Amino acid sequence: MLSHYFKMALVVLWRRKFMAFVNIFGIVITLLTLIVGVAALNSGLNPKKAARNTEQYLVIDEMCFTGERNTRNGGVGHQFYTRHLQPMQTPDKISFSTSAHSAVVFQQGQKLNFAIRRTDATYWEIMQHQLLEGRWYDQAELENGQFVAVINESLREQYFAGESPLNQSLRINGQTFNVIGVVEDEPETSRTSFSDIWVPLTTAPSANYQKEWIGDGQVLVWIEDASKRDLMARETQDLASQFEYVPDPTRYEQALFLAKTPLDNVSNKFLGENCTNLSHASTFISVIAAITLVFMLLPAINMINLNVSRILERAPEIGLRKAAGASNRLLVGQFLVETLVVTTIGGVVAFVIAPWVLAFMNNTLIRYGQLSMSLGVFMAGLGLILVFGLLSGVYPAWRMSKLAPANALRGGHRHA
Amino acid sequence: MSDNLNQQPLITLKNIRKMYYTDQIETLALKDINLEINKGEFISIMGPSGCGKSTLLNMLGLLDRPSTGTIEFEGKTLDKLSDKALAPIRNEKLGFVFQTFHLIPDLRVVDNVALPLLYRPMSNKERRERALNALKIVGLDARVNHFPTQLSGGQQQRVAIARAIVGEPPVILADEPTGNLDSHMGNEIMSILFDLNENRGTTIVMVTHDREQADQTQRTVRVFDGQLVH
Repeated sequence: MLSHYFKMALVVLWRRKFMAFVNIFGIVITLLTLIVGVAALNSGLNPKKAARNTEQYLVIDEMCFTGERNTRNGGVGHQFYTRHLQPMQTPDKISFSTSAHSAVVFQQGQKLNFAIRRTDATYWEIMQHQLLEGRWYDQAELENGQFVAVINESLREQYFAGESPLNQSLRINGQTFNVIGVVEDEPETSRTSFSDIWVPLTTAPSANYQKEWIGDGQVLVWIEDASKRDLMARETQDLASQFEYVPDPTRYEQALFLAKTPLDNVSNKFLGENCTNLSHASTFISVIAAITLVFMLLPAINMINLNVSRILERAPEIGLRKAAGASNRLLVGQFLVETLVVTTIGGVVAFVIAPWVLAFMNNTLIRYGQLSMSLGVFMAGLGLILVFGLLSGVYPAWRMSKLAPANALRGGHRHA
Repeated sequence: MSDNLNQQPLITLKNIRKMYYTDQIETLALKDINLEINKGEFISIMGPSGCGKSTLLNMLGLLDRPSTGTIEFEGKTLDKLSDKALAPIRNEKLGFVFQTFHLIPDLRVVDNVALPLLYRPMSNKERRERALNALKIVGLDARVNHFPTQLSGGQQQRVAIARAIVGEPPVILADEPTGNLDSHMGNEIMSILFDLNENRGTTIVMVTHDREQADQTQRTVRVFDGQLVH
């Protein structure tokens, strides 16, 4: 019996190729989108490599000054950092670095574009970069403004053709640096650690950054003991209440910023909440859940539509099978197997394609991308599709099987 | 025919009424039908279109339930049985031939014929052997791997007959089996049905519009406006 059901399911798929294609295509697209979406979200919530110790550090990379008539927002300025953040007592370590900027490097007359990040020495203690060779710069080199650089492995491959770049010079944006270390590539999705080149903050072409209240900086706060995070939150609030915008105290009265976990970071960015000292993680989770539900509902409705029309079309077959002695249970079993076969084919296709799609994104869309498939999400997506498939495929078949065979043979239009 | 008079009826319909309900209209399709079918009979049911012939055949074949009245099969009352209990009776005791054949287009001829055996405990090999044998009886053993759409109307109806006899049921119910066929193919189908009745003792109840075909059967039941007329 089961072999007949499988055979029937495959025959139906083969003989109704277009409908089968639409059905399987819908399942594959749904699963792929789910896998890619979760992989992207996961890369933000659980960064890998250097930024992986998310339990220990918080990030302040957005702030907002508000006054009676004025609002200004952006990244952390170095002056605000040295006046208000660096003196904090709770953090075990605190670091200031810029975001990743564009860096132009010339090689044999050819212009190469890379990313450069200027950091202090503590940055290397908080971000756990994997050192491949050499070393990173220390506090003394920072204070002396030495032109030393740490580069990533891709730059080493491209610029130094695989040779050791240590103690070799590299001209970046018109400045010449001595390469002292090489680290692993960091994915572009890791906003706190991504770059191709890291140099001391003090090598900036001008010292103007030291006067900035709002700039393009990020502050990394390392707290060894996670239970001290509440203390940290209170301290940042106290700081905010003591805020005085020295250049013109009447212009801005309040500084709003949040020391964020990766979830806070993704949530506030997603919701466009950059002028706040609150976490919007719970709202974000609700919105994502709603979007996922709507996203899953669309293919489910498509599947229900296809399945209902498929089963209505096969009402005479159901009537015939009943006339030939099939019980309702056996009929429902047949459509159950057909739904399982379609869902399994869609699942297998998605499972095979997903790594290719993620590899394509990693290689072309995201520099040094690390998007990876979550098996749990894949299985949950497959499970949801199976539930929708069963509801949409088996329920109409069960209703149809309840009809008198004579009515089903007529197409199921008249109830017994 | 005279032998049948002394036999216990195979199927008995007692005071059968069948009402259909649509939104506002109540239609009485069958009125107080009393009918006995004896074992080994070949009966034709005649009447104008819409008079209730097919509805009557559906009652005999347990494909529909009466609104009131009783259906007995081999002396047992069946109309109150659950769908689950009726399924094996349809499978073992009844075979159906429809005017529009009702073959499953996705299945090959041999699999269409084997369909009733699917709901019996037996091996796939035995199912196939019995289906091939049934196809041989109707003269279609050269078309086992074709799909229904690759066959003519007459051939499709022969496949339907093979499907009806593959389980060797004692009764075959045929609803205008030659209605969609030309006279030559119609005659072929009729000769198969007569052969089944005469040589295998199969009881056959056939709805037909064709007076000539009806005259060849042992008894003709006439229906008019949902009632039997004599």
